[in-house]
Amino acid sequence: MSRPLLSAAFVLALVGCDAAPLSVRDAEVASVLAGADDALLRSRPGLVAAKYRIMAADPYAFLRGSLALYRHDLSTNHGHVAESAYGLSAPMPLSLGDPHVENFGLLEASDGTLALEPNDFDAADRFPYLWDLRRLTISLALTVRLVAAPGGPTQPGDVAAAAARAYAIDIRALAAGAPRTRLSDPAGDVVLQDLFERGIEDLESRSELAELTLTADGPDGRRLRRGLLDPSDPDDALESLPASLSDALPALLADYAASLAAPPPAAEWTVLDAARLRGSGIASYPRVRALVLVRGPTDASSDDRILELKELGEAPDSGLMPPYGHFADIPSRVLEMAHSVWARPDAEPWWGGATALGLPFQLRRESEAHKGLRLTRLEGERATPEALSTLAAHLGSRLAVIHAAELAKAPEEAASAIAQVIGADVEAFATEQGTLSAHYAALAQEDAARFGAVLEALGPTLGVTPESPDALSADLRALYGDIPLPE
Amino acid sequence: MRDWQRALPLTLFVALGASGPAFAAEGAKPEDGAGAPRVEPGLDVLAGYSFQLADQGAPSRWYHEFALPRALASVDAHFEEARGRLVVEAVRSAEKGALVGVGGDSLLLRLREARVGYAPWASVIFDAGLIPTALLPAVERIGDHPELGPSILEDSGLYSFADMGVSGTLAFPGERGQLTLSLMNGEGYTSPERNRGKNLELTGVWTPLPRTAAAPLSGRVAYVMGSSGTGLSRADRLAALVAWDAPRFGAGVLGAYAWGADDDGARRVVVGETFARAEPAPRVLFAARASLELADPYAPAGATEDRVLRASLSAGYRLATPLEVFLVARRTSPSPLAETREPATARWDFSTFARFQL
Repeated sequence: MSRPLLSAAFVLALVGCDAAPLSVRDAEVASVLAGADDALLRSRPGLVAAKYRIMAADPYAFLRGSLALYRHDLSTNHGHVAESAYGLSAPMPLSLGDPHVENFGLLEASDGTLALEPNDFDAADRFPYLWDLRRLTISLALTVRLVAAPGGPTQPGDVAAAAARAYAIDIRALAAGAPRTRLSDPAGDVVLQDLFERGIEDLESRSELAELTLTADGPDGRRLRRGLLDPSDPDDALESLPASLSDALPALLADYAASLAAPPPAAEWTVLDAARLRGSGIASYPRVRALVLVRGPTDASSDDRILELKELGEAPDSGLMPPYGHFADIPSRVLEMAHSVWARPDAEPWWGGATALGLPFQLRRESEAHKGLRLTRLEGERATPEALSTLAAHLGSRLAVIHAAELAKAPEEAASAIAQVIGADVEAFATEQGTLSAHYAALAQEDAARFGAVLEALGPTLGVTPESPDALSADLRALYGDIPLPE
Repeated sequence: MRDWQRALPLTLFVALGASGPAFAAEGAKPEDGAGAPRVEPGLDVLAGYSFQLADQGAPSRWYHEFALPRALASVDAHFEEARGRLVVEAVRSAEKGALVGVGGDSLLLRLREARVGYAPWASVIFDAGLIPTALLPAVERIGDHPELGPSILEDSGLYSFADMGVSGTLAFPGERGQLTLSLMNGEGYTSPERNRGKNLELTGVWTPLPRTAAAPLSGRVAYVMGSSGTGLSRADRLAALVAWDAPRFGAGVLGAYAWGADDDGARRVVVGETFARAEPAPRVLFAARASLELADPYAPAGATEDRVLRASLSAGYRLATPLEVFLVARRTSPSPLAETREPATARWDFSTFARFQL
């Protein structure tokens, strides 16, 4: 055989080993998610694979873990999700970036009261207001698809429209000078009543100490548990902290204390114990997390405090408008955004940031009272059309309050511009958001259903080849705490 | 795309490469010269000040900054049939808005080209390494006014200036043009390779009237059969350029059609661009460029039209042979849907630049 023919036969044989080709949308989902997670897939493939496994098993978890796909779909107008008669690209309000249902929850303010606030700022920055609003309304439409009885009276579009309607009414009022309000009274909302009742109960009992710690007689006092926290969930566990992070904790806590508006005395920061936390979050599942048990105001173990430490990452699509970055670093972004958009700056006075070992971290109180909204609680009377629409309206209102916030150092007067573009016909605005959100939520559910097949075709890392473990230093490997890839 | 279709580009390339000497039979070896290596350094720096005025956005409606849109340094080396080229460029270490980069968001040097070449015959050249793609470098070279901003080919994300791969070029007799076949990773020189599919690029250059007064006239057609992302999304491209490339006047018209873009194999994108440069009087320089990017061209016009129009105009003066100064005005006009994709891009840019090129 001639040399060209031999070469051709060799190449055909080599490439012919590929797996079955994916559909266009399958390939798009794979490429977008793998591209967004590229750095993590190379350095912590096992953890990202675990995240993908969770996403493949639950459509709402897929939504939570696929913010990059939503942003991509906005840019390609997949499912018409970018179309609107109410588009406004600038000014951009302070935005959560990812305001889906489960990114709202209770926070305890410095006066001990609870209120419903956004509790995840991983993706927060300035974005066009409809990016945020539609992320919320789409998550609500998907929620209806997942929790309401099929064929029942609850329509995804109606619930999404309820959120958009409340948003429009409130942003217009806020632009006209109405004050930014705090939601601390859940009256009339059975979902929020359930949340507040359970939160207040746990606030009084400080049940996180019982769930996460053990007490012993003697000088050792209270310690964090080790091992599985929930026998029914093998992902949820506390493990030993890597030595590098353990050694860095004193400096990290000092940095953290400096980020707080009213830091307690240094004695209260005495570290009693620390442990790596596994199995928390969806999008941030591969990030380093730990719990830190500190002494509290007295030596008594009853006032010990638990802090949650979470590694932060860049917000996707940051810097869309001049000056292309309003913050000095990632912890500053998260902190300034949180303190600005909460209804009161001290909505969670222990929410702070720090940098250690070259990684940006967020720290906050670990409290069972800080309950997040969860789809698993939406059942029975909490999954009726009225209940879901009322919850949607409250979340739409919260988003309006968030979008009406300003950075003191760089105000944009976004609320007025948003109110102007929405105009007086609130119902038409709500209808548009409801219709589009219901349509895209159906597509998102289809994407979630196909994700398992995509993983099957491309493998647990979506076809990205992880770095050799030797490419990372031993300290870094220990810090990331990667887990083995599934067989 | 089926496996055999993905395998075809690689197969064709290997077959062609393996039969290289047959193509070269008509050619002759280049003259050996003096037998000493030749080394040619190059430098291209564009520095200036830019003022932006956005259509929307209250207090941040305007913005200004000193900028370094281009800083290239190159070394070309030739020795007998071998050649090498290295180009480094300055880039920000993080994307705009990112808060983590190298040394904050420092300007870093990165490789833009790093290739080795071999010309066994005068009409055949093989290159390998980080090699330039076929069309975008030609547009940059003929247009030669980087103060106007990037070409639509690059701005749209459809083309990258360079990529990791190999290429073979066959020159036609009588300076009538050339044919280049390249096999590359496909993700461009700014991204890691993410799949087993490789891009095959076939480019033909035709000079219809060589060695006449119309020798600057040329036509180029380039076809890329490619893929992107781990899902092997289709990323095929067909582009054509007709250009006039003379020292004191250059102009071109180009168009490109993309089957698949942004990891979406079903997405279709059309781009078009026209540009011109002139030196009507000694040292006096003018350049202009207008471009159109149309995504999803089969969608009905109106609210769902995804279109971006860009127009740039510059006037300059050559202070000394390597040093030129320019005043530039640029307008970007996206449709409402396109502005969803790229928010806050409806704006005017007014700039002044100094360019040193050696």
